[in-house]
Amino acid sequence: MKDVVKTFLGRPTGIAGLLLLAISCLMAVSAPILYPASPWEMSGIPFSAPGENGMLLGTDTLGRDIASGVMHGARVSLLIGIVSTLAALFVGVLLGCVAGYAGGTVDTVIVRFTEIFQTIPSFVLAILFVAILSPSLGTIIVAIALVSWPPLARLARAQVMSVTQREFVQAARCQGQSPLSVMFRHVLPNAISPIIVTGSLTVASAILIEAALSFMGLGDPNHMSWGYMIGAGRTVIRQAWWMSFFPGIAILVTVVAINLVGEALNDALNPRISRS
Amino acid sequence: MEILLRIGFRIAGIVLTIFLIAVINFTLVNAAPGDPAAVMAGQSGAADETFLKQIRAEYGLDKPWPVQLGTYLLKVAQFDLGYSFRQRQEVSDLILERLGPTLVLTLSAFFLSLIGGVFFGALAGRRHGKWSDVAISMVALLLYATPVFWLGLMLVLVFSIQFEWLPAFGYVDIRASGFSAWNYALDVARHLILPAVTLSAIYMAVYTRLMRSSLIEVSQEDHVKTARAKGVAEGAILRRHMLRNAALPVVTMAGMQVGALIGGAVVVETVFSWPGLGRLTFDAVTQRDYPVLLGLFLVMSILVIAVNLLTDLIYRLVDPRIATQ
Amino acid sequence: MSGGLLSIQSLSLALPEGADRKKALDAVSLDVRPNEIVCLVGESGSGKSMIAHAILDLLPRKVRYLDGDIVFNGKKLTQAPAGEIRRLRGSDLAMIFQEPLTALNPLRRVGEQVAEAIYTHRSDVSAKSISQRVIELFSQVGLPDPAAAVSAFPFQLSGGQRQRVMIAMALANDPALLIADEPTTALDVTTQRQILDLIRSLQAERGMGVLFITHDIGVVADIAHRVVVLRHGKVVEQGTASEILNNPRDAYTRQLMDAVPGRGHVRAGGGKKTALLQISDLRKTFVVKQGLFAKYRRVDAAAGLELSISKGETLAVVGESGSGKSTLARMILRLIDADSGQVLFNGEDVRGMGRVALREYRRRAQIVFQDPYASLDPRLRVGDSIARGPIAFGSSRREAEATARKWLERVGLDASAFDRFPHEFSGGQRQRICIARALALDPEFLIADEAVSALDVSVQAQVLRLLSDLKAQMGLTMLFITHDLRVAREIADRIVVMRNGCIVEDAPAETLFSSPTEDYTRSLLAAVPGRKFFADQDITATGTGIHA
Repeated sequence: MKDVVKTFLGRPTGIAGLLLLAISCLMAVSAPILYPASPWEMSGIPFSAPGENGMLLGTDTLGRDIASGVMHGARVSLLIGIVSTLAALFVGVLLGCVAGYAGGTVDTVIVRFTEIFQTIPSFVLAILFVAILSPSLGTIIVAIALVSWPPLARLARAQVMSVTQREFVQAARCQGQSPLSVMFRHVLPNAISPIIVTGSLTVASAILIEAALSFMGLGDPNHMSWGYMIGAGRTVIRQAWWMSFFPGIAILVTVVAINLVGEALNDALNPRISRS
Repeated sequence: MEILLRIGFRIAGIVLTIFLIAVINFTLVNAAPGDPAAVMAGQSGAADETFLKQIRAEYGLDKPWPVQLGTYLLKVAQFDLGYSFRQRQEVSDLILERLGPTLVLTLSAFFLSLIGGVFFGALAGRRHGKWSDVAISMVALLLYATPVFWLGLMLVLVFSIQFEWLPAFGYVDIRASGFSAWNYALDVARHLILPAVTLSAIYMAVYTRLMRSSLIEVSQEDHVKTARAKGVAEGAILRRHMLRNAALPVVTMAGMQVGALIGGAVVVETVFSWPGLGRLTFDAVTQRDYPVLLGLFLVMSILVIAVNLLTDLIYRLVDPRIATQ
Repeated sequence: MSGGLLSIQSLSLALPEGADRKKALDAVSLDVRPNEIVCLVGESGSGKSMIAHAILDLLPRKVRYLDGDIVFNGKKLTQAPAGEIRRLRGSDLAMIFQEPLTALNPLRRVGEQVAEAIYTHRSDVSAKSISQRVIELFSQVGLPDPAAAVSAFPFQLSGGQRQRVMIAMALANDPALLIADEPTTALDVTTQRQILDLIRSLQAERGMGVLFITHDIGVVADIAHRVVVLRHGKVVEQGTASEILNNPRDAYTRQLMDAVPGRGHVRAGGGKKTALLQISDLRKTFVVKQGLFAKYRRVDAAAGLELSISKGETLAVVGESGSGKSTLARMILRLIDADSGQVLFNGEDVRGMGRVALREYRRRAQIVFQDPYASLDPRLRVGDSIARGPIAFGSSRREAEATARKWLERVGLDASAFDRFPHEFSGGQRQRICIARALALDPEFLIADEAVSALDVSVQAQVLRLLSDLKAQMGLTMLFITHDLRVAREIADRIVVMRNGCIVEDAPAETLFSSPTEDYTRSLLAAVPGRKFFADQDITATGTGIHA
């Protein structure tokens, strides 16, 4: 564990990622303190450019504060990113472990099902799901989880299968350890690191899906989100670039941060893979 | 015999996928709050009572759900995707009209990302550790994290608004009806540049990263050492013994990304008002035109399956281990 | 020793920092003359491969050149520009590698790959004559149906055939010197024999110089004209084959010779004859599918096996890869389920055991695996790995840890090893830990599945001795799975020869070696490297083997 932290902190990219991610989290936490008013409220003259009329990042078509929106948007993005990833991890790892450990027909069925799910254009399914069940934090999270679990399931299955076949696991079985003990003491600890890494990258892609959904007008109408802001600014891009520009930068920074952290985590947890 | 059996399996897999998608559609409609008939009519309130009745009868909505499912599947099998009350048109007609532009966009983005990814990835892998590798890897990392729709807007901002080099939206110029075939194609191509670049960017980043690490891995393989021991020059080793081997995982990956690519087309078409299935999706979402959305989901899935067959063929060309078996 | 084809003069190479020693090679000097085979012999880490790679300038980037010269045909390679060395590679200086499975490009036809060696060096030859030349080479190296073989992809050939392709490639431009880096190590014994014979005959035909790198003294005895013994990057001893093999002057060379298993007296079986394990009509078929579109292939790993092991006996199961010997071990322990048949342990039906019975059975029957790197959980202290077993059977943590410490000492490690992780140990030490783990449960029956195959000879000898000592002390019954008849001879009372899931021959060790009844057994015996040399030696000298 100490080695993992050391390797992680030894990577400049990992530290950069952590710092950027800290900025995003700080925005999410401090939004209600710095901008106590609702980001939906009109607080300035519409179409103010950044710096104009005392608005740091300008205002949108209805005079709403872009800076406030960007801060509050961090809350939705991170929340949805993390919760939907946890849900996807739960489903994916469960199915993957069952398939990998059980083998046989159970495995075949789960693998086929996962493959079919991977063929389906996932973003379109998410759109359909949210549109029909009406947009809310809940439906968005479920929709993103629904399209994010297949890669995790495949990975978990492959990991469990390869670790189960390793000789130390067979030796543990021969030592008379119970199947649960073998699973939790030997298989999972040795199988989990790539899953953690992929899970962290899934947060990034979940944030991108959420942004795209709210860009399409399928965000939760009660919560300001980055994707919505870009979508709202899209039609007036000729007159007011800042309305789309700043929320996009916020997404970019957050996603880059998570990817950097994920990569550094990968180097730290799977030293063999990253040696090349 | 073996071949026939394999083709049989393949077809069975496709049928199974389409079946699953139809089931998802059916489940969603029934899980939606309110009357399924109203959902099918489009939740606009514009649907009148006679139309709702007609829908109920057509889809057997007063019968038990297995019959409803059966009716729905039968309709899907006949490519009867329902009627858009909003657009006053058969959904299947609406979709077929828009299929062409989407195919043009996704296929060009597919090949652009694949070629670009292999090229830049090979370049970075070759210069492993040098500044050009660092630069390519950085750009790939950024592109990989950029929301597609935002990238599109920024490109419009720069190339259409600032420099006025390329059109910001549309498929062809409004005056295009008077163009010759050649000029027409040229005009479409000009309109295609920004959307295709936008859509391919994120995948190009993915393939660049994959190709880079794959090439570095291949360069450490024994058979490359064999080629060196034969006295083959470095450039020839790269061409004959590394590129194709390293590209294999990229092609596999590209096949797996087709679904996501088509999903990406939805937002890109929205940004650029590209008159394809994606733009249709956006309009259907804004108008809550559910029959169109359901039909789109089905057709796009079939599209993915078709492109997957294509990538299988590419794969067979690249990997003799599959082709000769 | 001048006037040679290749002359290496006090060559030194530096290892990167953090390696176990500073220099990969330390002032190594050796010569290869035309028309002779020089064997470079050493254990893993001796630097023998480095020499081969240094000659062709194919060293890994991290290894730096320090000092010394490599002179080939009067030309200094150590200062030659890269282009000049490249022109020599594959023309006058050719090399073949250890792993035929990975040494060929999987995506190109083997004929093309051999042709490449020709047109890389000769631009004046027509495509047609190149392809004729390739076919000719393929028939020289004994590939079946050479005209068809040229258009095969590597995956369509067996390991031995691929190595023949590699040899054809190396010979394509009639090299003056062939460097062979452990070319037969990855192959089965009978294939190894064929390849060794091939290299020897091609060498004699062409009058080539050959630098042959190996870890196996038996192979040296079979083909070497001269021998160079390498240890920790230094030349320990060199001379003609008969000098070195018959009168080794250096202690290390003697130690290497003595460590070669399977000499001295064969064990005499006998003793009690109660059966501990009885196997009847055991069957297992694997259906394998290689790749997404491949056909299903049925492989019989066990085609009705009949076998019985008496209490206190050591039975060796010998076979080449794919013979089903490892599957047998796993079926006995029910790590793999057999398709049909019966396994009786002390009269109990193993295949019919419920969970409780199976657990108790596995305590009494333990296994040591082949790969010492894969068989210990990398995240667990070795003491814990050992203690887990007794704990699973109700020992308290304290008792189990005491048992683990006791066993660590008993297998020749310090009790302080308890708190360390597997990666801190060498291969031989790990195998000792695995033995401790198996025996800490106080079993009656021990299966050793290729337990010494991954180890260097001298370590192999130590582990074999440890196993046979412990067996005697504990009165164990042992099933020893191995591909190496020499190892079987070293440890077994009785030997079973397997091939393609069938038992070919089952005889007391003595009988099997003195009068084998089956052709296959005879071909295996004939293929044992160095057999003739060691047999002759045993007659003249009173065996100073491990049994003495």
